[in-house]
Amino acid sequence: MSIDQRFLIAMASMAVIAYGCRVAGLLVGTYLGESPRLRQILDLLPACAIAAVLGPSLGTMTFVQGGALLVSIAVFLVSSQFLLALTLGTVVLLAERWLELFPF
Amino acid sequence: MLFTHGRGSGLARSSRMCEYDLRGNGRLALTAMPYEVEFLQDCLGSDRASGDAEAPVRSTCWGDMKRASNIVERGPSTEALSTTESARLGFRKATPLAISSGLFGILYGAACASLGISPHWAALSCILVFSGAVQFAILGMLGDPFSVSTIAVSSLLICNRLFLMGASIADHLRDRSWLARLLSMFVLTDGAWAATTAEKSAVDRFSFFVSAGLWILVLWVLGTVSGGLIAGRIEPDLIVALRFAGVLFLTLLLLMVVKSSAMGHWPWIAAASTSLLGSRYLPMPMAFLIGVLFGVAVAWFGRSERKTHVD
Repeated sequence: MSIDQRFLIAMASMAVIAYGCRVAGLLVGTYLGESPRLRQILDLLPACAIAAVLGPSLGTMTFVQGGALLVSIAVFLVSSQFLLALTLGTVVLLAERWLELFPF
Repeated sequence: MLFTHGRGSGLARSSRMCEYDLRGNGRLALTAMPYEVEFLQDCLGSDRASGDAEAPVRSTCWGDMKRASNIVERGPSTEALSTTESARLGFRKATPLAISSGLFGILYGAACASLGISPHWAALSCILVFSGAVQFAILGMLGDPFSVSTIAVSSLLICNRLFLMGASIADHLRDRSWLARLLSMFVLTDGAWAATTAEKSAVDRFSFFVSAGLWILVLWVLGTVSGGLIAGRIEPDLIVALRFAGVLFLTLLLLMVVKSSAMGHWPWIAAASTSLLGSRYLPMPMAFLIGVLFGVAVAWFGRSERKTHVD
């Protein structure tokens, strides 16, 4: 089986599952989300999910990656500029590579 | 404050997000104006169009306006925006997220090209799947042994976030037809959800969400195609080095939502630290689940405490 064929099969699986998850969430939120208490929980869950995804990554990051994260957070908190924060964080990530090019 | 305006002026009649309203009793009501620059242009245009008859009203209002400007704090607009304006605002607010997605798209396109996948197929996968986390993860599963069930289970585990976002955003789309809601789910992604959730103005949520999602999708696809075309010039080491940029992106998305939420930081810190701790001793899906539940519990009980205190 060629890589394109494999990729097509994988793409079809991913597409069905991703869209199915979205629609399932839409149905749950529409029919179960009318209770204010449940609505509050549903509103909280995605952000908690993002935080839970990030947690393990934060535990295994390198010194440079930690620096990049700190720079991004600091810039975003000060300026509220998403792109600027991401760019500066990425620059810190790349700085490691650039510094390797110039051994002191 | 930059602007003054009397009731009935061209500006007040317009459907813009900001308005001064000088009432008969001399009290001033003010709704906020988050887009000062555009507003300044509109305001100047309205002044010119409003005619001389209003000039005395403005001149007598100036002192009150100036005093009011010292005491009124700017905040989100309470005036409802039209569908078109909401769509434009969604486009504008999602632009930084869309550009970021475009840059990740370049990495994805380059990664696909390095595996021998055509840029066209890569772009099609972006349109149909539109979930960077899943798409990147699956690239590592195309080798031997190739297993569709492994891909399906992995996709399901990663896509649970989409389920939660669908449930969260459902309330904002309630006033639309089912067909519109189902079609809009094609553009549900982290960025569109975060932008819609973080928006505090009285926008048409559906238009805002769809335009934000479409804009992110367009740049994600364009980035992927570009990445496929320039893949030869991108070093594999660079892609590896920039992998962590995905973590930066998600962290900033989270901060964006947290800044607009009244919940404070503790639920998200609790979720992240619990999943981190759990990942040391438990399988990743279990650690993730515990992190989410613990974060929700902290938010839930934290909210209850604050409410009791206020009451």
